[in-house]
Amino acid sequence: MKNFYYAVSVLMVSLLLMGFSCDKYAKAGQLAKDFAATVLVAQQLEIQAYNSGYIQPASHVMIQTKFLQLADAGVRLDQAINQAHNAQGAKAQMDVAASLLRDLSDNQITGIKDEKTRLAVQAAIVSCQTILDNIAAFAQ
Amino acid sequence: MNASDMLKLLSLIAAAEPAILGYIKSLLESSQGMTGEQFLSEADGIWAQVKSNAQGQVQTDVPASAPQ
Repeated sequence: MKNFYYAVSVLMVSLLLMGFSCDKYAKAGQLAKDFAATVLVAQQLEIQAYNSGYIQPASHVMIQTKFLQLADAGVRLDQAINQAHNAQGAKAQMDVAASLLRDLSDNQITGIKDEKTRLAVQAAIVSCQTILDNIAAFAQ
Repeated sequence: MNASDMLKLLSLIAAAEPAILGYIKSLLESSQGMTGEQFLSEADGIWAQVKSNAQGQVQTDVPASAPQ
């Protein structure tokens, strides 16, 4: 009986390790979904702040234009992950998305005059960058 | 061997020794969830929402500043 427990334990550990390490596709897909959802939250935050009068129309249009480009980049990122069945083949698309987020953070949202609003939108964009960094780290 | 196969095998073993394997089986079940394709499909739906929102915002504001 002791040997049975030992054999089962070894089998379980092996299966567990295999289960957690083999499905990189699912993990990359999950991170990609988290990234999209966080960008959506950042966008909705910006729209709400604009509708409340905290962001000038010119800045709002520029920021939303970047979100439009980010949505296109996000779809291409998903396609790249889908084709490669992991995140390793999506490096170029990750770079594009990272560049758009950097531009949003460093240039576009500096036009938001209200400091609290700017900080809130900045925090949301940092969250997006963090998830994108996790996808990149997962692809290593 | 995919997660489903592993769960079937675990179920067979767990039938003999349920006390030992219960918690491991539950771990695998919680990690099984959705496939990569399903996650990406949901992500694409969210990107479509982001795009639609952005287009709505840009189109709403551009005519206001355009020459009459």
